Amino acid sequence: MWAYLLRRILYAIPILITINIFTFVLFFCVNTPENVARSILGEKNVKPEMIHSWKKEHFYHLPTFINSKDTIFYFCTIDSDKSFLEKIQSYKVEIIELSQEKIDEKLINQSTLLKQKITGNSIFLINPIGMKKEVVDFLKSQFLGFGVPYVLIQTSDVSIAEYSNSLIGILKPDQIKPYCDSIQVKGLNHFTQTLFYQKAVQLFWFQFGKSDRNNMDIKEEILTRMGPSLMITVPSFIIGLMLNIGIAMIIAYCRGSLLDRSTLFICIFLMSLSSLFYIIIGQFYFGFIWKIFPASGYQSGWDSIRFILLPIFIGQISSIGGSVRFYRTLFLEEINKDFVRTARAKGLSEFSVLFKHTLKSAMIPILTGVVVAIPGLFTGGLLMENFFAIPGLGAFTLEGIEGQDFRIVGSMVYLGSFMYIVALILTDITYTMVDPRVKLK
Amino acid sequence: MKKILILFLILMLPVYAEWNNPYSKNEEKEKIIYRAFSSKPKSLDPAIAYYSDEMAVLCQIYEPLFQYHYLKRPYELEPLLAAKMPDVKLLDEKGNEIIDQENYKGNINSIWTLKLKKGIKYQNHPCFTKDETGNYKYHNLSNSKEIVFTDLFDLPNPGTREVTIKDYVYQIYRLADVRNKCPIVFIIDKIKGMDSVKKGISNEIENIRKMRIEKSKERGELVYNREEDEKENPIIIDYLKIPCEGIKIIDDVTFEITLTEKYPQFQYWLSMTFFCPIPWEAIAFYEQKEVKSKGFTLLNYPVGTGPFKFEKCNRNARMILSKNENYHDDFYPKEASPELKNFLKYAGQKLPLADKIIWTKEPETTSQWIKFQQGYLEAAGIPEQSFTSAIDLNSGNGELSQKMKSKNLRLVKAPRGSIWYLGFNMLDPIVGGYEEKNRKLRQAISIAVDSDEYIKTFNNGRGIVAHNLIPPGMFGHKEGKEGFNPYVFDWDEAQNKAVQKNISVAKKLLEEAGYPNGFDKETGKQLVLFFDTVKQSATNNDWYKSQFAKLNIALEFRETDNNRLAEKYDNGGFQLFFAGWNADYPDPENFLFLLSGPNGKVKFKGENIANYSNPEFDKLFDQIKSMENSPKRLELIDQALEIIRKDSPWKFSFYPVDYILYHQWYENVMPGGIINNGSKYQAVDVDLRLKYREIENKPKLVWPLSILIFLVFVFFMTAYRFLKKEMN
Repeated sequence: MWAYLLRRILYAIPILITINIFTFVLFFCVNTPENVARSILGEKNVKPEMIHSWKKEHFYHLPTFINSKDTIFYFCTIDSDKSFLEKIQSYKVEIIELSQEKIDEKLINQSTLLKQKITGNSIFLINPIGMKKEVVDFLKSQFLGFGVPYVLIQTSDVSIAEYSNSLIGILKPDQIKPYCDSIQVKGLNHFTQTLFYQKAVQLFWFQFGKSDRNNMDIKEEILTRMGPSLMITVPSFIIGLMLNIGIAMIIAYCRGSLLDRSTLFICIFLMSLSSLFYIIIGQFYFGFIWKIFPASGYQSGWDSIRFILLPIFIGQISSIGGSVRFYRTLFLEEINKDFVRTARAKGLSEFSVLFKHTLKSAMIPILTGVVVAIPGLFTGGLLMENFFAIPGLGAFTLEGIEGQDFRIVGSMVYLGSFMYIVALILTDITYTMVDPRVKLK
Repeated sequence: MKKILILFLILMLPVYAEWNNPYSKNEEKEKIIYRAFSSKPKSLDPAIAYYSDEMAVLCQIYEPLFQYHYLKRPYELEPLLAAKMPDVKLLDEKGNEIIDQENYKGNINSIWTLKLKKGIKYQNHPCFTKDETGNYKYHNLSNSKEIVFTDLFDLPNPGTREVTIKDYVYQIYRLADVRNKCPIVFIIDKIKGMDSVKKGISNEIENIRKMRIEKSKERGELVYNREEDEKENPIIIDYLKIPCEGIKIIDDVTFEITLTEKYPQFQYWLSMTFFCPIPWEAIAFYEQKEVKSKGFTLLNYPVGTGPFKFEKCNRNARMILSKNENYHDDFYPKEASPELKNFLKYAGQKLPLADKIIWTKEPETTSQWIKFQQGYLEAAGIPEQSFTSAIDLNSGNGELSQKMKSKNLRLVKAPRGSIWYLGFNMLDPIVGGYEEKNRKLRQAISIAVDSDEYIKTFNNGRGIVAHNLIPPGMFGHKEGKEGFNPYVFDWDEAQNKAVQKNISVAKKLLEEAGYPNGFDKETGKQLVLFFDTVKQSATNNDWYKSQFAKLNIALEFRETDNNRLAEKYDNGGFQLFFAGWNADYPDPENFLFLLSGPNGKVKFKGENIANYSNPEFDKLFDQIKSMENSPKRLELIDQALEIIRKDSPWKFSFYPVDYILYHQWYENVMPGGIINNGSKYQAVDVDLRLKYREIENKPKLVWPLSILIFLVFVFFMTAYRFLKKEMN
């Protein structure tokens, strides 16, 4: 059995990886980081610095899959000395030649373009010799908010101290290489300093990080929101299970009768309506017209009972049709089997035949449905929680979708699929418990 | 069993008369204002918060220097934390006061002298708590392991202190710090010497970083991980060390701010929470690893001087604000504009009038509407699907329906101080341009699109047809014959109102523009225009198509998502667009700037999406912007509006009007418009509310119970009969 379990767990890994990659591509590659930042930061007075610092805070400035060498931007004039660049050949160097005289439109355009280009650990090397001080100051002021270290390079003996209130200071050409080495990506960072690692890989060990929109700790949020969700789903689940199996058994017992046929009719009627309909009608009648339950809301502790009754009730109504029919079919299948006939022939009462023999052997298909439904308990009901203003995980997911907060949606999707896989493994284990014939190998 | 259940239900009746009460029973006698919010405010940090849902909460907790008088219209500023209104002096480049303002040409510096009230205290908060030795008790949590807490509100003995002048300056520096992502940096930039402050801040950060690298080397660490370290030990800068040329502290209660231009609108910004005092202790406290890692930040847990403060609660379900025990003396105004005279019942009483405000989360309008009708919310907008049942549309001017009137509800129709418009991209070769024929095409379209019909069809009549871009209630807006747009409307003396010009006029204009009957004179092809929008309802699109069809112009919709649309706006690749603007402050400058050339979207990334640029208008705008309200200013505004109407870069669509319903017990309340800190003036008549709730919330059990009992009975009876038959 252990070998079987181990194998199942190993099977789960590629599935999770695939899901992870799929959601990542869907959520983080289709929309450019620029667009995500814009939609989060709003429309009024958004400056490029703000977009950049937001991206940095949420790792959107990183390259997607592999963090290769970061660009070094070298600002110089047309006749500046470029020979020392050979020393840093191993890096991607982009040379930007400026007009040395004044701040013109071309320079402004160049800097706007650059602002969009800056990623990860870019470095600005500035060779101020021959450049007007205004131009250097302009560069510095343009990129102040971007956190890019700019370094003045002294390529000749001319003193450049007057430019030097810089972020790093003045370096000689032969000091450049060690400096670049010290702040560029190294080793594992090529992999970890990427959008994919930060947003998707870390999900494997449940590092959900911070949400894009509200900067809240997603893990913390999931833990606090789990309570209200479970308050509704667990009672719904248990009541539903007992009620539905009970009704199914009764009508399976009187199969073919008027009761059976009319119950089936009602079941089909109930399952043909969407759950949204029940929510709206339930809220309207029980909350508004009959004033029996609060129309929406949630309180913690014992007080919560008043708030969860209506959602639980509506949940039952919307699921009863399908479930009763499903269980009834299971029972009918078992009821016609040989061993049941034998039991009857032995003179056992119909009641004990139904409960002792049929129920037991119908347990396997029931369990399959039941255990697989368990992850749903944690993720909560999207619509139900939203309409009844219950601060649970379903509402959380919906908030994530509405706010285009891909971090939340991605985390919830991963969590859901993870639990689903765990539940499937659990189903297998429970089989061995209820059915001695099943052996896991 | 059934009998017991019914008995139990009946017994419960008197105990729990209101089963559907979403609040706890013992709250009902308290003076609590109940409100609803649809999503958690993004940020409650006064350096960042800008949106109306954030302001609704934030402005009750933080206070800026000035506020709008609650009962005076048009809006008028009055001191809040300031002792008096600011003194503004204009200086020329040499620092001499400018006497002859009219004729002075050259750079102007304006000095704003701000005086503060004394004795204003912060709310109680652990960040102020000191121990016996006078040190801050909770500022060094990493070294005081004996202090364990899970919730901020559990820390014993929260302290307070008086507001000092440095707190205001501190906040201004916070706005300048890029790390805080303040959305109004462009206002801060007007303060003299802000560039060097920004540089100073970055240098300071860089110095601290350098020091940390060296320290890490001293400790013998091979690699210093900056990002990790800064996550754990954020860099806190002693802002006040950095000098700023434009901010001068004169004495304990006075400071001066120097702006590099004449900018009278600065007073409106000073009355927003961006300019509230922030204690450095709060930052020092919240930036500790032990506090931050538990999710307590200034973003969520404000420390202010305002009438209310945050209580402990589950923010996903509700937000609770309770009275701030340290709130300074503040009294209900004794004067009011004539139309607001009936709001003076509480004149002279100490504020705040309510003890608590509770916001409950209501993501859906239906439940909000239900709770409002049951008396569990004090105010509500009317949801789309209930509009016809709440408002009697037949009455013509949108009165309450009989059913609503019987509940003693109060309907208030409030223009929102905003405008919606259909804009033309002036850079586009067809709809743009400043030649006579381009202008005529836009005028023709303006006539063809019937805003009145749009308001009635899509907005249930909640809007006023716009004749210019300054909304009603604001200086520069003119009503009636004086203010109508003669390029789109005719004045009908008999009805005494403006009537849209006949479509034949538009057709003639179109012909003059070079498109007789909608066909291009040169190519002979039908004129096709593109409307760039986000995805919207098909009926809306069809309506626009039908309007353009009046001129035989084909209209095509290019629908995309928000991001793509923003991109199109940035690049200028669009023709027609629909947009709106909400006032930041009640000054016409805040609307006219939407069409000023230097604010163009494509060239300057400004808010002028139409990219309208008319030197004549720009010159007028420059004058208007730095003037006080005066007849001269009004005259200039009229001239500017005339230019815009003639050029028609926008088809002015409408000024939206909010319909809000209030319960009779919710007193002193009106749609705030620009006023965000109104909660302290509002009161609830608890007895009246209780009475209403009692009448409206008697549970009706007859129907549901009988249906339930019937169903159960039928089920068991049939089962029983079947069993009996089987037995036999």
